[in-house]
Amino acid sequence: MSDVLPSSSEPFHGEGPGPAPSLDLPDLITPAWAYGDGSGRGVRVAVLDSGIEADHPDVGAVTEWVDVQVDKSMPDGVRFDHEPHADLYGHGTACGGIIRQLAPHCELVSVRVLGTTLRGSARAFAHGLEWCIDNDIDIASLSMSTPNDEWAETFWDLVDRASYRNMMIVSAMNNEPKRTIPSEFAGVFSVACAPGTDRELVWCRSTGPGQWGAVGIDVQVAWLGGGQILSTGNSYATPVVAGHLARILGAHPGLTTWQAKTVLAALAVNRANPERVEATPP
Amino acid sequence: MIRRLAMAVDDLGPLAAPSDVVVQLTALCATVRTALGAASCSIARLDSDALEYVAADGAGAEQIIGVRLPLTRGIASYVARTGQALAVDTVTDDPRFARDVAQRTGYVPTSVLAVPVSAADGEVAGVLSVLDRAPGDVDALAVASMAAAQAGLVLPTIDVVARLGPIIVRALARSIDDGELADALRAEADVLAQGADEDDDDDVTELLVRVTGLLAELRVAGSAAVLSAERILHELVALNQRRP
Repeated sequence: MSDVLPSSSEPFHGEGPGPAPSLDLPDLITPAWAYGDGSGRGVRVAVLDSGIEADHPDVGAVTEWVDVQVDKSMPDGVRFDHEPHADLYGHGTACGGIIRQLAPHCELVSVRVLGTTLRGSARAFAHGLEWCIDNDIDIASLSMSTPNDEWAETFWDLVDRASYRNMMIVSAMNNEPKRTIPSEFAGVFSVACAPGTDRELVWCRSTGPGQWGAVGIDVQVAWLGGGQILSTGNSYATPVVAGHLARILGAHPGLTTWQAKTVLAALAVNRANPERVEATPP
Repeated sequence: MIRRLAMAVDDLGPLAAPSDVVVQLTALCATVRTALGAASCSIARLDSDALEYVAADGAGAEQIIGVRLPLTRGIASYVARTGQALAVDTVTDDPRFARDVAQRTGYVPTSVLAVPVSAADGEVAGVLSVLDRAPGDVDALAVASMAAAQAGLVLPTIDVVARLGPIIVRALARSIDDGELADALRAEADVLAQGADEDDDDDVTELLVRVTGLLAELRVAGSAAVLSAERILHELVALNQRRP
């Protein structure tokens, strides 16, 4: 067990979060029904991060590129560059690799949101999320958040817009106990770390934020130069949930966000009736 | 002579930072390093497009002080850019990372825990990095976060003081031509205000403009007013140092 336990991850450890919310349906939601072929085919999944290393063996093809640059000369104060870009740090590649592992045929979209200036990064982050809403992204995986109150209203509005359009936002809780925007909002899938290293498992709490759990402690992730590193953070739990959602949406296009939450909760490892569902994922 | 001094102070920049702040930050690094049984702990301040290491304790500490790393790559840079903590346990699996670090600091770690140091306004002011902490039951992230919060109270002071020094010396140089130090200080404040980027929301620049303007006002105030201002300033500094 690592000595690093990211914030909001505590409820998934020790005694665990208790049973996931359940409808106790007569006909169960099974992994076979929920995931279909488990490929995530046709689902557009955006990774808002530091970019993705396209030729990384764990990532494969990137369908579309967007580099969000804060640029005061543009009418909206932001410029979108659609040329292929590099991952500046490795973090986005790590997240892209996890999604690809779980939903091998999904369409990965790299939305690089670090901006050109330091103080522009929250602005670029918001514009990147808005780009996703406006460009038919099905699932946006956000392994970052801002603690800055000033951005709360902007992100609140974006989360609502995404919800009404049924774009699913999967968002990492801050690793430190700080404000974490938009992860703390009810309209997103807010994710923290659960124990183990098995990415087939997802936990669900009946309360939040940090409502969803997946592995992210001492996990092997893709990194720069075609390599891998061992790392810890809610960042790596988030794309696990995004990958499971990509499978579900691949099998059931057009699902709403609240339907997807119900389906994923029914598959949670801590579901109320584990004996009634076959345990084998696709 | 004063013009040359002004240029020299400009070049020195943050090296002219107040030493007691660096002493505090170094003590903080030593505390974190000891608490986590780590090989080293360092604190870097964010300076526009680079991380500049201002305090460190442990392996490679002497070599890393004063080193400026561009924000283009590396774990600490990612933390500075995103404001989110990152724990990497096997950094040397990425050969490019290892080479970078070895070349710049002379110490190649296996694990890095980096947490953002935030200023009072919530903006990232720097990064606290812990290299090769010992395995244990202590919540390393919590310890590093608490230390970073403490560093956040003093780190921005370096920026303000480091930039204020050159402003005063430049004003002195200017006053040789213009005659009045107060006018020269006001001129420097105007230059700062014009240079401030609206979208950058640069609170430090705003503060410097205010302080420089106040210095100009003090220069033309009567001696009793100057003494009062000095006392108030002294009390404010003491209060700031006492705050939790």
